[in-house]
Parts: sequence; C-alpha cells; structure tokens
Amino acid sequence: MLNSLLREPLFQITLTLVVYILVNRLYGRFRFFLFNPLILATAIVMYILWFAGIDYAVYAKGGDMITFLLGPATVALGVPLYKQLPNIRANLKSISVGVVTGSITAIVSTVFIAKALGAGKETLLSIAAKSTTMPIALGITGILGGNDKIIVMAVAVTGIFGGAIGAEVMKLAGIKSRIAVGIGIGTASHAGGTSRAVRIGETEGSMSGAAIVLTGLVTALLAPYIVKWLI
Amino acid sequence: MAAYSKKRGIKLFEGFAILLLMQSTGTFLSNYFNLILPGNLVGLLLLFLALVLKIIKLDQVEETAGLLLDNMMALFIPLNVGLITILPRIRQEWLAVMVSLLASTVIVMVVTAKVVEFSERGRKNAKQPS
Repeated sequence: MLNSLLREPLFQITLTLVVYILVNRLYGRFRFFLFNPLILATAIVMYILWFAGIDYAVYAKGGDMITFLLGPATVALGVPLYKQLPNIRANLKSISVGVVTGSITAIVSTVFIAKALGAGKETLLSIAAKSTTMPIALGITGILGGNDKIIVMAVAVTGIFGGAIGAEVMKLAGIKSRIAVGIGIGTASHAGGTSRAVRIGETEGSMSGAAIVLTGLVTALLAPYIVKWLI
Repeated sequence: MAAYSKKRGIKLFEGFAILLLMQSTGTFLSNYFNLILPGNLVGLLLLFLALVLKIIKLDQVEETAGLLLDNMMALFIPLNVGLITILPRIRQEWLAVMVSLLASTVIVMVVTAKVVEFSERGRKNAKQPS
C-alpha cells in the first residue's frame, strides 16, 4: 500500500514542498553563496526518488502541477515591474542603454562561445536566454525550441555565479558608477546577481532589480532573430 | 504584516484569479496574432498595463504575486529534477555549456556596465559647455 501511495501525485507534491521549505529554512540560517536552495533541494528530491525507486515520469505527474504555477508566477513579474516604474523613469537612459546592450551581448556571447566549444544546436537553443529571470527564460526557450530542463539549470548557474563574483568583476573592471554596477549585475545575472548587488549598496541593488524583468522582455523580443542568425 | 482576516484570504484568492485571467488572455493574444512574445510574457505586460492604467489596483494582486515570486525556487524543483533524464545526452557538452555560461556572465557584466558608464559620461560632458 505504501508503494502505491508513493506513486501518487499527492506524495510528489508534498515531497517537493517539504524539501523546499526545510532547505529554505536552513538557507535562512546559514547564508552562503554556493549553497543554493534550488540546487540542494533538487539533489535531495533526486536522492529520495532514487532511494524509493520512483521514475521521473511518475514524479513528473505531481511535478507538473507545481510547474503549472510558473505561468501565473511569470505574469506576477508585472508587479515588481510596476513598482520599479518610478526608479526606471528616473534612470531611463542608463537602464535602456544597459539592458539592450546587455541582452544582445548575453545572447551572442553565450551561443557563440558554446558553439565554438562544440555544443550542439538543441543545447545552444536551450542556453541562449540564460541571463533572463527563470520564468521568462523558460518562455523564451519554449519559443526557440530548446530544452526546458537545460535552461532552468543554465539560469541557476548564471545566477549563482553572478552573485558570487559580481562585485569583484566590477571592481577589477574599474567600474565606478553605482548605477552602471547595478545594471551590469542585474542584466547579466538576474535575481541571483541582484541578491549580491543589494549588499554592495542601495543604488546598486535597486538598479540591478530594475534591470531583471526588462532584460527578460528585451531578450524575448530579440533572441528569436539573433539566435536564427547565429546558428 | 497584517493579521489574517477573511477579507484578506478572499483577496489572495482573487489575486490568483487575476493572474490566471491575464495569463489566459496573454496566451490567447500570443497564439491568435502569432506574436513573438510567449503568452505568459504578454500576460505580464497586460498586468503591468492594467496596473499603470489603474484598471487593477496594486493592492488586488500584490500579495498573491509575492506568494508566487518569493517562493519561485520551489516551482522550479520539478523541472530541475528532470535534468536527470537528459544527463546522458548533454554529457559531452556540459563543459562547453559551463564555460560559455561563466564566460558570458562576466562579459555581459563588464560590457553592460562600461556602456552605461560611457553613456553617463557622455551626458555629463555634453552638459558641461552650456
């Protein structure tokens, strides 16, 4: 009986949420940049599934119901965009110049480097949107025809890395403008980088935050054309 | 944070309905007009527009949006677990992918920040003579 219960979507959803909550609480206590809640929670869920002998296809029946919530979560990004509006208006030129340059640079450099190193076409389509925030990246990758699992991993890696080295890169590059530092970090590494930008200073944090959703929208508009041209 | 009230509970639920309504409308528009933006993003813009035009008040969706956005990581766990199903296929490419992700992140940061700094400087210089 236990075995059939473990195969119910109910169990898969409960497992996912409970693991997430425990990992998140742990993360609140020990803040450390390499310790990413998504990656740790994923590893724990994978381990439990393997231990219980549950296939991914069975897990996905429950998992899909959680994934469904990403739709309304993407729409919900309209709220932070609206709240950032005064901030965006006040720095309109810097933000638009930065976000457009950054989005194009992100698509071109990601695809170009991976292609030069021998990655295949499907993989290239799956990482082109890696600098955008996760739900938007997922939508763009759907349009491009890439793999949803690869883009989620790519976005997570980009966020962790941006958060880990953002401040140091800016210092090494000799960027002095606080606005430029914020927009640079936010455009390159979405919320992952922004979590670090917030700790550099208030201007850096708010600029980085303002860049996130805009980078997603600009990338969504440009990626289909740029990628077609690059591949 | 305010204490729970029946009114607040109902509002949280209505906020969810508003998000789904925007997503549905966005998806319809995206499919019908064959837009380059995916339906969810059209929904995002519709919500933004509705907030700007005060058709929807911030108060109506703010908490539901926070509920989803502040727990976004949980929503990505199932897809990330699914990575295990494609591991054999990307085994030969993972190094190329990692190098590309890391290098590109640094490049984007520096290029973006430099360009923004340059545009600010240009503006200051342009203002100086006057």
